[in-house]
Amino acid sequence: MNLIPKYLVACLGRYWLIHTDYWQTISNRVEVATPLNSWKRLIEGVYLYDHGINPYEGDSFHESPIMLILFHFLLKKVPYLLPVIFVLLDALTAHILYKASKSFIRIFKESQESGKGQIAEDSITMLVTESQLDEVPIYVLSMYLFNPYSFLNCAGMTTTVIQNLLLAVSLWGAASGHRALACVFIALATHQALYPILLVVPISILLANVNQGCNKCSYIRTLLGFVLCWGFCIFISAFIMDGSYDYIYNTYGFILTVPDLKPNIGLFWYFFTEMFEHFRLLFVCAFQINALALYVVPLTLRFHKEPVLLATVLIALSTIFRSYPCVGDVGFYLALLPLWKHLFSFMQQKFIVGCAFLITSALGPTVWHLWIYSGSANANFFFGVTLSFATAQIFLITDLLFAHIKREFTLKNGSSRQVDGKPAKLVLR
Amino acid sequence: MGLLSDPEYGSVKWVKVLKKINFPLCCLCYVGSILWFFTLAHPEFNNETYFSENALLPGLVRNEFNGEHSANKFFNEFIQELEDKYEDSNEMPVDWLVAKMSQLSLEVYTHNFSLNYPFGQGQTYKGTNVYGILRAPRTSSLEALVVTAPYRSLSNHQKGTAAGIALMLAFAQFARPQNYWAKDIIFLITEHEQLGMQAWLEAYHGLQQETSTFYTSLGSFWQTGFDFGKPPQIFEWLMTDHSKSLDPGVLKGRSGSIQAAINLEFHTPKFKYIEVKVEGLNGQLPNLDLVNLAHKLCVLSDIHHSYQNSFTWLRSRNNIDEWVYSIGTMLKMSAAQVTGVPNGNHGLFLPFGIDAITLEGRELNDPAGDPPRAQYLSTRNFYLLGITLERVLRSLNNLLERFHQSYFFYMLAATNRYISIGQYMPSLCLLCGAMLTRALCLWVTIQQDEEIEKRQDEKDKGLKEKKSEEILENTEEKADSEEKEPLIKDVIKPKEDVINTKEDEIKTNEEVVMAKEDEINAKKAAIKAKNDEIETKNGADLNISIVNVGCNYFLVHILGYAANCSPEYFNYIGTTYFDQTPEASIFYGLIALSVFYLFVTPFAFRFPTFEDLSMTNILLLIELATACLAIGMHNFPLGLLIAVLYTPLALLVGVVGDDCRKRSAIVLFLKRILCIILQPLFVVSIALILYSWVLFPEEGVLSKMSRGRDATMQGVMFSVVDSVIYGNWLFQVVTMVIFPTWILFWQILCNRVTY
Repeated sequence: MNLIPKYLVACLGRYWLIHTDYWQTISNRVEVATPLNSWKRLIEGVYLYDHGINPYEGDSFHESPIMLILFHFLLKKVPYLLPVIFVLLDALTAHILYKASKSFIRIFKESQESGKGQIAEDSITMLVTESQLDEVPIYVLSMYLFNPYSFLNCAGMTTTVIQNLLLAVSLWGAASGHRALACVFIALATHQALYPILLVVPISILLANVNQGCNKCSYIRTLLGFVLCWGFCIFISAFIMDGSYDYIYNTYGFILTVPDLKPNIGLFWYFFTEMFEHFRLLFVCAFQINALALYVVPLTLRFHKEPVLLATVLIALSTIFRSYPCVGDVGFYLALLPLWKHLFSFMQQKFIVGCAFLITSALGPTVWHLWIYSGSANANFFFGVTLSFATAQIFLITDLLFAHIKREFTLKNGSSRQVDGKPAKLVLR
Repeated sequence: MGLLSDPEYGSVKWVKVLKKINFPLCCLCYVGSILWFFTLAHPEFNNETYFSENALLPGLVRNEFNGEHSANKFFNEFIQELEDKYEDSNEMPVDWLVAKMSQLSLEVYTHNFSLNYPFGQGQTYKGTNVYGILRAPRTSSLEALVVTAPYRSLSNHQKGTAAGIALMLAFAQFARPQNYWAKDIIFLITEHEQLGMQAWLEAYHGLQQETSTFYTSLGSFWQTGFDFGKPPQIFEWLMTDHSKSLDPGVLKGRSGSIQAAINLEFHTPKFKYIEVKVEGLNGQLPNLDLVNLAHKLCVLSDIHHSYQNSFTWLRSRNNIDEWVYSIGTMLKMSAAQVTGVPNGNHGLFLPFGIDAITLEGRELNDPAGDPPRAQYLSTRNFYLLGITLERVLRSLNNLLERFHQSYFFYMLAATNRYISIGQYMPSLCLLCGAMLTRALCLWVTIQQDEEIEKRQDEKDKGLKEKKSEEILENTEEKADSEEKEPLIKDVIKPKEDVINTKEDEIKTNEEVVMAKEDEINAKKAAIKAKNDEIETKNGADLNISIVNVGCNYFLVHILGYAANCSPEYFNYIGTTYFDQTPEASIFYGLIALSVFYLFVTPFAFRFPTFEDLSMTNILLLIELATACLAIGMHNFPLGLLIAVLYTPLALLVGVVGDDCRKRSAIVLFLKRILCIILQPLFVVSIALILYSWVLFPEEGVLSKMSRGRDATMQGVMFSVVDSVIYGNWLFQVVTMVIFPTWILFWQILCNRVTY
């Protein structure tokens, strides 16, 4: 197994980073820590809870009560082990992603086999071969383990580490057909960050495909399972908070109404600092619909045959448009991209997107420093950089989708693209 | 969505065009960028400065400063005191200053600081700052202005600052009874030049010594763990900050947040003109409004003033003359910014978000050199200087909030002309654009090659399959014919035997056929295996390329980080084992390191392929472009200088093929020479040797060289020490960004691959 050195290197790297002087800087970076997931706020909330003060009464803590008692337990019992725990959880996420991608590959192979009949003759060579597919899980693993974004996320000890784990487990559960597992973990993830609710759609499709049988029954069962689990989470949380549901205002309410406008890599903060107060509700609704509901239906209609692609794209879109995104989320969906390695040759903006990712990642901290520490730049500079970062991500997603469509088309119609003897052009509308 | 349309149609065209014109295009960008930079100095292309902040209300007050007499008195007394008691010592007359300030009924404090010099044998320097706070009668010490002057002893080789200190005291005496101050004024006299200033600022802003670690962030939860839960010794060692050497101590008295600061450097009361110095740490600049304020108020007070190469008394109608002067000013300003070393105490305020400038009085025979026609200028005195200072401070007193209106990113072409960030950035962007274009071109080349390869592979596969099919057919035919042969024999043989033998033979034939089929199957399998092999090879190539490139890239940056950390160790080795000065040990250590890297790094890249090296080249170009942009945002001249130096190399370096033609060998050799010349340490050495060439033209070649070497040694040492004490980034940038990119260039040039 050549995986173990990879895990070792990645874990040691993360562990080392937590113990350097850079830890404080990393864990306070706006790119890494948002009001939702930062370590500082987590420990503050746990401290308040430990002293018998309801942490949801103030404005400092926005994690779910389940996380609160989990970390209360950990901080009380094994505070010195927390770096190890975070590192191991991240490694576990990577491993589960590895497992999940193996299942995804199996599904992909099956669908490729079954669809072989409809493929044009000269496109047969375009089919993905076994050996190519077998490498994919390793790529996914390495992409998660050595991605600087997930590296920083883990070193900053944000709760996004746990969020990623929950998402990974639910994806894995769905891919291997464990309905209960998928439902429980997607419910937990939703309970923590709300946006993973989008994933219910691809997961239920995936479960129906994997388990075969009555599709509608399967959808209903998944949905029911999810709703029950989520309800249970909400109830349990209320139970933890002594039967009071007030925490919802400070968790879901906080995510939805975006009261804390501390800059982050998302698109909300700048817009709402500039906003007149009485338009706020309208635009909050518009932005949240954009993040939560807008893309699910059209994408599901188009890509219901490819639930894995749908899941990837939905995770990515909710990461871009959510109210408090951080680089940990970006690192997670980037790790899923190697699943679509066979689409890379159809993608057109790889270079632009790559450059944009690199340049914005370097310029972001630069202009942040100029704005906050030197006082010479201002918010517009930072927003400009985050905006182009978001644009780059959107380009990546649309490019991926379009590449998929192009490949589908080419598989079906052959690689020569001619209409009446003239070269034709595919246009995405 | 035109961008997202299927680009295969027509894409070949732009790729071809790009490949054809990429080199001339990049060269054009390069030349264009440099031309753009120099064009900016022309009055047509830059703008007249203006006041953006309305609250400043410059020059609206009637001057009341009447302290010329007392300034002269303070000056004479101070000089007397220095000559009497501090003739030979470097110490600051703390008692005298405290006494004088107390007499003016300021709140006087002293501030002690110490420096554990990080290099050499670990000496400790101590120093004292004296400061007095004039509490504003109108508000409750929420905001403050700082007037500061460095103390220089009589034996100091630099110009003294006695007149500045005297003026400050006289101004404090004048300002004390006034009732219009809305901000505290802190009068600060610092010892040991910038060191004292840095210590005072750190103490004022309460910069903590220890950085918080994960374990300290646990707070009270920490106690609840088991005993073995304490971090092992190694972590404590890791957690302590070794780089911290300046102990700023504590301040006994503070005021509010500092809005602006004026640093005074006046040697004598009789000066010819004022030089306004703006360049700060890491090339940071104060808000243009403050700079403008100083210049405009000098005009109002009828004081000649200058900035770098721009002198107010030399105004020409001729645009070309103006242009040449402006170019001189811009280049001098860039030179001052590139090193990142502040050229006055004001520069240390800037990283704290406080705008500050230095006013330096200059007379004839100044160390900075005499400007043309300076001898015809009439000398100015304390009175004019005093009213200028009063005007500046009363304008600052009007400020409602910090400077934020005008530009922070600008270049000055003259005392009254500026170039904004939007105007100068294109010249840097053009250079970065050239590098990115080159990267795009390389990317497109690889893509096409890959596609061609794939197609060839597919063709090969197709051919092989055909061949294998042919083989199959052939063998089958053979088998058939063999089957037929015995049949013919059978006909000749007696009929009785026929049936049995026939059956037997058919059986054997069947066996033969079976065996043949097996063979064929085996062949098929072999062919399949071969195909698989080819596939896996393709896959493996791609795989290796990512791991190989990534590891190499990572390794090279680690090497850069090692170079960044090395001075501490070189200093230790040099001073203890070779009995050298820290300068020499660090300098020679870095040279040794460079030579080591020069010979070792080309082999660090194991078994590179064409794609590997191309990919490295692309990444390298993108990294360099990004780095130049990011550096240019902080310190434009530094970013531009790096881009100007390395863009030619970036455009010329390409993956070296295996073909050994003579012409290409010579070209390659020249490229390698260029690469070696552009090695960061080498560039610095050459630059400083040339500089000493210009500075001491009369000396012999060898002594010039040795002067250049000494200057380089000092320069490297300064950059290392500055990075440790003040947080100057130059050394870090060079070792951790420029050096790794250079190593990558070198690797690409030194590895030969087959296409």
